[in-house]
Amino acid sequence: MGNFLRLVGALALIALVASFGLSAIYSVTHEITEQYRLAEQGQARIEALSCDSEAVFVKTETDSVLNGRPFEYYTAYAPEDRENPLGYSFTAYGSGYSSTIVTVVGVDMSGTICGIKITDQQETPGLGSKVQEVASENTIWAVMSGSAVDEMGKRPWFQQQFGGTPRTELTVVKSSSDDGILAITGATISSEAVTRSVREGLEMLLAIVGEGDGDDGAGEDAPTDDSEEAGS
Amino acid sequence: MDLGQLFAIIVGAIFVSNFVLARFLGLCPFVGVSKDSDSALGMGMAVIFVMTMASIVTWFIYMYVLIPLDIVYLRTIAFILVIATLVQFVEMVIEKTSPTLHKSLGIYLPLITTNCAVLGVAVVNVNEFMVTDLPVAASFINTVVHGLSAGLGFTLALVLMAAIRERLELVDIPESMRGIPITFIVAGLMAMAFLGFSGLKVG
Amino acid sequence: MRPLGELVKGIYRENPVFRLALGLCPALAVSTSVENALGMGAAATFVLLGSNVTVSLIRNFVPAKVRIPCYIVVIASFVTTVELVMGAYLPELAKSLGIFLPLIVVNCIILGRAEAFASKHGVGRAILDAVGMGIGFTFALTLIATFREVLGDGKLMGYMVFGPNFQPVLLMILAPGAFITIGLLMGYFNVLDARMKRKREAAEEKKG
Repeated sequence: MGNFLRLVGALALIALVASFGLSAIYSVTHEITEQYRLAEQGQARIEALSCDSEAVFVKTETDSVLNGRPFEYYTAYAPEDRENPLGYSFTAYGSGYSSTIVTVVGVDMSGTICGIKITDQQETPGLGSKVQEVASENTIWAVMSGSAVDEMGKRPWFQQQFGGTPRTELTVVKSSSDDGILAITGATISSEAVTRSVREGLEMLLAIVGEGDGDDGAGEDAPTDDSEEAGS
Repeated sequence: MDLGQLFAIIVGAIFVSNFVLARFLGLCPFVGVSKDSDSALGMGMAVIFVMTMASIVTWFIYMYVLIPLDIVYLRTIAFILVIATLVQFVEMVIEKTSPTLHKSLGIYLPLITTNCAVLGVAVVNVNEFMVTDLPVAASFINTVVHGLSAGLGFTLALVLMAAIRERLELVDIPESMRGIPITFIVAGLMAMAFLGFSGLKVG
Repeated sequence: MRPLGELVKGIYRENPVFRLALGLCPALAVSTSVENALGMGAAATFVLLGSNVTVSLIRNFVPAKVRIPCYIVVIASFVTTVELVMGAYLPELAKSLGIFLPLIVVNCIILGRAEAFASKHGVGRAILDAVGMGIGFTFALTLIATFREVLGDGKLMGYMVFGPNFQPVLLMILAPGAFITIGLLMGYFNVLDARMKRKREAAEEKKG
């Protein structure tokens, strides 16, 4: 019995020391991780709406559920003008091939998609992962010899298709001669997941805030909570 | 209960995202224990049991201990300790009920603890069923079904590989490729075949 | 073995992936790009170093019967440390490594070295062993990743290698490509080994 206690005691002691060490590390790192996450989402909203980084976003939580998650959206305002919204933003979750694809969507006041930014995906590398791929012109030889073209501002081509796309054209097509979102070759499921989640989110958003210009945001679903956030 | 979703999970874990051939989990036993069909099947059964039990126990621990106490970051330690205990338990049971199986599995039985498939299924369960806003019952059922199916997929790959390797014994293979290298080439061909299942992806 | 030997053995002669067949899961899963391979190699080396040192330090205090669970807790702690620190300071890399970051805890290399080496040697040797194995693991991962990324995606470190009109062999970057690459590489190293052995034996015969 004493031997058994000694064994368990040794294991318990190590586990205790480990837990203390980890909680110390956790207390330092989790704030940084949280801040990064919030900044990333905020930055994505700004990019999706192509608006000024000074814009203020007001969050509205709703009772509706989208893709198994409570639906919430942000309304963007210019800092000096709180009467006229610049646009809306929400996060869509699409069930992809091997992961949930998280997309931040920007919608302008006419109900058209302004732009999207995919922030999380774990799709097949080389296929579904191309949803985040930037079409680059630089080869590694150019980079090594210093003659590379600066491509800092370039966005993934798949995501750029969504800019200016009305709700009716949010379907995946296989050939560029058709209207819609061109799928990534060999990655139809990933392309569909993004497109469908964006479309469903857009439909839910428009049902809440009303379609088209001139609507001042009064919809059927009463927002349950309003909280303010700086854009960046 | 959403039967459609359960079906999608089962087909997904066994065929579309087979733990060994698509997710690269559980490779050590896959390469080590697949020399003959009987021990492959025995190992497979043990892994199915451990994966299902691990899915259940880790679900409870994550939902009712880690989240309420806000110590989610201790997940890795908690899960691996649970798995180590389960494997210890399974080993004792097998030793009592079937000494021959215990002998043929040898060192690979305690190694189920470090089988990345077991910890892997627990982590995948967390990401897919516990951090989303599924109702509690659905989260639990999906988790258990997924754990069971993942184990079945692992066993399928293992048994198939054992059957092929038994036939490979009779074939003339270049010296340098014998043993593990040719096993990987075979696994590559199997993975290619399983790629054909990707069209079965639903939901 | 001489100290330098401890360090170097992990790179070729006892390379964990190609010779000892350990750490196969991440070797295949994370080798889709050289960047990921290097990141995983660095993370695993850090955990290996931490665990080897700790196990070596506590080797006389841990009762033999519970040593495996104790080592596992030690390893899991270092892995959680890497998860937390990487999540805060290198979030993009943490995202790319996905579930394989927590899975470092079941990377058989780490438990294997703790049990086979660190529990029987002093801290100095344990450090050398860890560094050597870590470098060997990273080397193996990067080698596989180079083949898979260049042939399967036409890129290296995210930049194109053959220009925009290259049609990559998509299979290489998918699951089958990983298996085939490692199988062929292992076979090649066996050939290399046999050749070196023949040379050594021929040299011995000449001497004797």
